[in-house]
Amino acid sequence: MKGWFVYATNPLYALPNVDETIAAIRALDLLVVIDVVPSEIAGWADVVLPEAVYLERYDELNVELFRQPFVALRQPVVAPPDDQKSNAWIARELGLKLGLGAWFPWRDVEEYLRWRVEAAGLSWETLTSRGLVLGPRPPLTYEEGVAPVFDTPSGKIEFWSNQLQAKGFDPVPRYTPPDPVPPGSFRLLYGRSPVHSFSRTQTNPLLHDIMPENAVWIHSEVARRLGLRSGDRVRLRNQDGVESGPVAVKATCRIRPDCVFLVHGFGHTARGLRRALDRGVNDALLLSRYRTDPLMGGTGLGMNFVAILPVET
Amino acid sequence: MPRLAMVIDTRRCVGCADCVVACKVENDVPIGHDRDWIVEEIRGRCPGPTLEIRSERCNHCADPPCVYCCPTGASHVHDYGGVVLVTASKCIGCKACLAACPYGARFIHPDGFADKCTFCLHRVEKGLDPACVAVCPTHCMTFGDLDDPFGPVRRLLDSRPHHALLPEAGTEPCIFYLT
Amino acid sequence: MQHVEISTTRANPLVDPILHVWGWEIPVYLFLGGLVAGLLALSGFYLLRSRTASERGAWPQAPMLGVVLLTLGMGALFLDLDHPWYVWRVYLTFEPASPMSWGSWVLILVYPALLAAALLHPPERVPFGAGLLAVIRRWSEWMWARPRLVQAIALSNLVGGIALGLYTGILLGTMVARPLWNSAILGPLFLFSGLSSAAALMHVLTLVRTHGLVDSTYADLLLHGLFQLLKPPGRDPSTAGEAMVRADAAFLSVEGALIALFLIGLAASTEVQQQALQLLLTGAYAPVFWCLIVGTGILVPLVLQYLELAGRIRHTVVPALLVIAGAFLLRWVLVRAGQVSSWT
Repeated sequence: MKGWFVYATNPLYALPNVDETIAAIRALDLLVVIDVVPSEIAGWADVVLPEAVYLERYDELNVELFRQPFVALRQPVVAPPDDQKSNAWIARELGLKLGLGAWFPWRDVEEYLRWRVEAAGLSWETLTSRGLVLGPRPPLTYEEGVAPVFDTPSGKIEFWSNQLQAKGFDPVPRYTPPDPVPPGSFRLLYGRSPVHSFSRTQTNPLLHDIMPENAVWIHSEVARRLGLRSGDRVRLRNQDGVESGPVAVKATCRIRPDCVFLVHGFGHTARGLRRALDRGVNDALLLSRYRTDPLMGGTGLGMNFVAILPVET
Repeated sequence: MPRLAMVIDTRRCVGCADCVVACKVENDVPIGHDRDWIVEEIRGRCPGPTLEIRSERCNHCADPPCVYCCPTGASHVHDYGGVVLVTASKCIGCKACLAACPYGARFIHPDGFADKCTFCLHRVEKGLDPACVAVCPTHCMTFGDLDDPFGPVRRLLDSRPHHALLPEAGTEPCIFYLT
Repeated sequence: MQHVEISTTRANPLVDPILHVWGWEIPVYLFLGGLVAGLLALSGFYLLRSRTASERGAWPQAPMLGVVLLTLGMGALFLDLDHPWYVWRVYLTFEPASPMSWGSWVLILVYPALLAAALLHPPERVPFGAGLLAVIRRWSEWMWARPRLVQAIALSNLVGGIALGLYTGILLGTMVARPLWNSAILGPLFLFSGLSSAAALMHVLTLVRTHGLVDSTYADLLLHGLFQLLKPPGRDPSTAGEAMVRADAAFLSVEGALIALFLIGLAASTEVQQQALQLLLTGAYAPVFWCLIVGTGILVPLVLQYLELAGRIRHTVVPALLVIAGAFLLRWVLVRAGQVSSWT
């Protein structure tokens, strides 16, 4: 890969094995980051294009064919504080510079969206004033008259799949037990808090005030055995020798004794995220091992194990 | 005369803290201070612990010790709704009200006076709900007149088990948590 | 006991994780307030017993000392306020449910009472020369010529002192949110602690100034009325020193009894009160409470004073100083531990 445009994501947090990601970045000729916060990936970029936040820009129409289909408009309600641009503007300007103007036959994104909405027979005025237009609900169930036919070779729901078998996979999913927890270690689990979004809100003053850092959840009995109390600081070191900075302990009965848990998205090193800098620890750093599901490509991260170490004074 | 109260369904609250953010923005609460906050309470041990998530704030008690102890009358009960308020220009910052509140609901504003939840009286007077109630994404908060027998507050309390915080402290709190 | 874990996003300064709204300023004020209350009450009591100017002379410095200490105390109070330039608001209203409102008015009203009592005991010298002293002496004689006025001043000092001593305890005692303070005994306890520390202070000053003893009339007038009970059979308090020792001991015994009742009251109460009690008995404040408040603050002075009265040891300022230190530490520990005690 020669060039990489990274939009609204922080791969150094979103992907496991940070070293792999950094090695890939170093092999690039060009890294461009488009984001609303000066995140870690922005620090590696050759070019950073600051984007306006979602309240300051038009985004592509949100069209969903859910149980209740709808078309939703995402429109600006305030102006950007400085010279930040929207993704549509950035894309069009880059397109024009690359001589691809033919694919951007509109003056601005509002013109494009309006054209698209009206081409679908919907009212732009309704969308801008109400925000969304509901579509007709299609019949979905057997009771609603939909025939029970499925997109499989037999036309039925297949618990045993000949297609998978033909491709060399298990025709019925076979249970593979997860890696066992090495003695003295804990399986590292990660997850979310309802307060923060991914790794990008930790520096927000309001959200930082509510939750300034993460803590490592340790089962209360285990904590007692280790002589730890909530609020004590420890370090975590994983099976590959990756060691974290100090993190607060949360002793709780809400976690299995053989696991520890971290809320994702902390331990920032980007100086631009000044409130979040060095607060808590980054779970992605400790998730250096991963496995890819051979059938659907999903990434499993549950095979990282950490030891709990005291903090050197 | 209405008695304003809040009913919060703890089975719908997910602890997202939207109520906290909304309050800070609506009332210019200084960073580092909280008029409302989220509490997670675990009782019992695995395999059977229970979790209750609560959005807490001043309980606007009907028998408010924070009002009785105030030497200047800054801390007072508003003549509408039983809302407990602080008149900043009368407050001397003696902090007796902070010590008198069993819930620790008050704090000292950086400008020196005692501060706390006001039930967004400025919104209520315009017929709106308090900011926290209005913004809750799970609609778990109901605000209204406790004394209206057919109002939403009374109907919820009469139809579902609920509790208030520290009723034994004798302050008659007006925030109820459905369980 | 069911396992409970509570986490909160609240982190208000002064409130979380433990209430600490009142630092050194309030214990200092409560101590000085109690001291002044004692000086007021004792001066007032003494004045009530005097018929003429010639019978005065027990503690002439007490009222002026009271003015100085009270001003220092109110200074500490002012320093505690976070919205201090609005303090005058307190004097635009009277809030009957607020002990602090009562106290604020009492504080203002005891100043004239103290100044009037000070005028009744003109000093030997004044800083601004003989002219001012003459004026003061004239006013003093004018006042002594009016026995009803003297009685009124005496009564206002006595009542003001009792009110000042009681209200500091009631202020803490009415806070239901702080289980450690939530006791009616706190009012009388602070009053008697104030009386004992005032008696101790005057005891120290007298001993230091006179290197021993002053005339016995002073001891009789002050103490005979109240403390006959402590007189060992066959012995009159023939020296002022002994009399003062008995005064200290009397107030100290009552204070000790009130502390015991305070502890019993908490122990025989609900769970939050019992938990609060443990802060003093076995918790973080136990060493200071037992050693420096109960021990060297009450029991050791009592023993020393008994030994002094029995003639076994020399009469020194040591017991009195220990009493004063104990009274201050009593306020310090109660204010600190009370904020730690809570319903949650």
